[in-house]
Amino acid sequence: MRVYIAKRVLLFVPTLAIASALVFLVMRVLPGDVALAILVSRETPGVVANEDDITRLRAQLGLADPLPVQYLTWVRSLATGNAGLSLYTRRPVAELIGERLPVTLHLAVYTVLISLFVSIPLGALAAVRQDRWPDYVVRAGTILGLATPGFWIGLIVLLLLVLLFRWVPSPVYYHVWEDARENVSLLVFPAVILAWRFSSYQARMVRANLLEVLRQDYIRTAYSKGLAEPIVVLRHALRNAMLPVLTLIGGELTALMSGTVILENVFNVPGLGDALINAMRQRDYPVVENLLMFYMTFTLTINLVIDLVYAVINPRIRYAE
Amino acid sequence: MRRNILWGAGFVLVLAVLLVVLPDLAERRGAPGAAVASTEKPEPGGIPRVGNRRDPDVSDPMQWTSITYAQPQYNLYSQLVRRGYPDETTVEPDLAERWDVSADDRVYTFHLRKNAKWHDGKPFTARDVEYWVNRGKTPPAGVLNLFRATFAEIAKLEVLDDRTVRMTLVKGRPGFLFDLATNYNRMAHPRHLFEGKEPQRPDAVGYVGTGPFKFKRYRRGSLFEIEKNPDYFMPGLPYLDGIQYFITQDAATHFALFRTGRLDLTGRAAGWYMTSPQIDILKREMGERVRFGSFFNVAWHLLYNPSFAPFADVRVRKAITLWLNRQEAVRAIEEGQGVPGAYFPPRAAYALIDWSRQPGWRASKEADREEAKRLLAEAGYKNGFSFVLLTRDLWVRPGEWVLGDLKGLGITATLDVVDQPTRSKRNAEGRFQADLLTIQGIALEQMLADFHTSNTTGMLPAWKGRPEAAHVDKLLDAAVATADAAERKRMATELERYIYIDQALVAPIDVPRTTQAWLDTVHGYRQPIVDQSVHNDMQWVWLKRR
Repeated sequence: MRVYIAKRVLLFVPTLAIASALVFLVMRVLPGDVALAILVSRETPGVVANEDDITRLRAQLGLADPLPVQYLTWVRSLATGNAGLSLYTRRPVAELIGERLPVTLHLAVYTVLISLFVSIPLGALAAVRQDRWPDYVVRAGTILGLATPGFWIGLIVLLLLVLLFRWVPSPVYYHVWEDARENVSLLVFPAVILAWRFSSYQARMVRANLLEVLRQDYIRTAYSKGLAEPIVVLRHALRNAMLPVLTLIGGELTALMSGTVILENVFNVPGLGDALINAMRQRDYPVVENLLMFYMTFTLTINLVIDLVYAVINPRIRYAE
Repeated sequence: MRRNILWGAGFVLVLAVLLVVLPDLAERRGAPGAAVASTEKPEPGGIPRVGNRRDPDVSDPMQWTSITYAQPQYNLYSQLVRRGYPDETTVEPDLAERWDVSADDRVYTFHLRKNAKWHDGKPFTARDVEYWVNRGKTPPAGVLNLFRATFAEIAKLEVLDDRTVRMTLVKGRPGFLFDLATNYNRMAHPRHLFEGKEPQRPDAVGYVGTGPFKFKRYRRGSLFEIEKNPDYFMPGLPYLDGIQYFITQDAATHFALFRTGRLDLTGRAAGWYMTSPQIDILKREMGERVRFGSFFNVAWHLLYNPSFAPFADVRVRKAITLWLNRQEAVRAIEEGQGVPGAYFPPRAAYALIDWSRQPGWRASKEADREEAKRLLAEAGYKNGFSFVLLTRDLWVRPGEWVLGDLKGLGITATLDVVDQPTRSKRNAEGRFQADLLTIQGIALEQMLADFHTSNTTGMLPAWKGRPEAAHVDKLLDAAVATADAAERKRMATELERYIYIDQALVAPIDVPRTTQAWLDTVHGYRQPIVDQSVHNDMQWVWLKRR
């Protein structure tokens, strides 16, 4: 197992190297000039930036160097753990990630917990009551969850809160250890909305897998031994039906790291997705590049962890040394 | 089966409720009310909550100008001299309690306040002014001063004593104080914290200024909070104990926060101002508990490139000016919140032309449109022509309106939509046929920056070398050299008339009016005349207890 983990971790290096080159090139190929973007965003009528300013700023930002030099400088700084400075704010990118990551992790943890809490019982219920009303209800709810965009539900929820209760959550984010009540009241709405979507995937997956497992011989044997249905389902069937759900959770965590920007904006959650979109808008290369590298490392790590958890849950899985 | 039908009916019911609720936001229309001036005795104390568009995550006023940063941070910093209120063309004392100007408008001597202190307790002295001016004139590596034009005018600065500085200009200029008083010229650079540590950032040293409020805390993405500066040099000010600026990433959320009482004052920034439907909702729901105040925003303009043959002909340009239905533009683009106008917005000291009576601007269009057709035919374009209108991604709506309106004149156009940096660069390089942009000013000094051909990102770089632009340059040079107020007004009017009517060098579309809302407990809030003034200092604001 240790050799397997070491091999997988070593494979991170070429994967990240290729990814970093791609990220760097894509950012440079995109139309527009960061120096120009910064200067124009600063400008007000009567305040003037000219070609000299653009050249000077490009030089100050290290953008006048040839592309290979810029790339190597970036990779070198990454290797030494220095993510560089934002071109806009001149603050360290690591500081930005450090500020935003706990917020996104909070939201991700709430979302995953809610979605697991909801999806597994509902998926199991739909499977054991196949083609009866609980199954129909779960299927309809999950289809609606998959078909409705989260940002739209977010806006509707916000509107309903205003119209029905004359109340919206405070726009100030507090960590759970600072003010648990404020933290939950702000994050519960986006977490539930996100969880609806994710639990829809999971419930459908649990239902489909459980239906397959329930038709296996060993389940029939368990029933014939006289075991009660809850024991058969929970102890024997559900555990085996859960494996693909784990893969889904890995994908969800990755998506939650970056893909919740609109909901973050609607509920004023200062997470990583919001930071990434702002940086893209500003063509803030170091922030975008380092955030994307962070996402990639996170995705690779999560995938590895999920693979390892597979082996723990299912003793039949053994990774080749 | 019956149960399935019941579930289906339930979903339909929920959707129906949503469909009933949603139009509530979209259908209402109305005009903003007027700001209420308070004559009551200010009550000290209180911490109002104010909306802010996105994060104020940069901090050097010398380098950045966006309202996102200015709204919360400018309360931390004072100026040498400041714009007057409500007449923003005048200049008032700030850190300089008085000043002397030589007869030739070349030597300015500033006498500083004795009781001004930085927030960290260090006294504010003439050496701080010297450091600030030198930093502005010759920015250290890593700093780009966008206001260097003003600083470049200062040929020599002398520190006469701790409280007196003398600035000698390259040449006499009556508008120097006006430029110095621009709201962006904030002194956020204490010498004792910046010297030897450049490029330094105000946020990196704790936003130390001399303003009425001190920095308290900044939670990125959530809150920027400032508190009362007990050592502020203006006695009795500020009234408030502090201000919380709630950072909002979404305009709908910002509106919901005000609507549910989580904000006392809505924020300033394009996209965050109250729309007509929102104003109606607030009036209906909050009644007398809400106040509204409006001011004018930058005006939409159609800018021509004379290298495109039709636009070199004054008759074509005049035809377009006469043809555009500006009342309709106000309705279609601004949802009724705006007026037809030109460079100087209504209420500005130089707004002396009554545009409502001018051909092309007046409500009655029939005669103007006949004349427009005649002029176009006379110029040889009886059947019209086609052109490409450059615009930026966020300005498609007014662009499309222009396209639609000009169709009636036989002129067809297509939009070339690019991002703002690209638009700005192509404008400066003259790579466009017509460009849609926004511009506005309240003084001749701003007009100089916007229309003088020496400004490569102004309105007329593509006209450089042509007699019309040379005439504008000559008029502007003469106007800004004039000290006499009446003469300046006369020349401003002459310039506006020449640019907009006689030569139709640009075609204004409309002047949007933007609206903020605040609770009736908020008193003394000063809105600017125009958006560009960034006049949002809060030292006069106080909260009335219910």
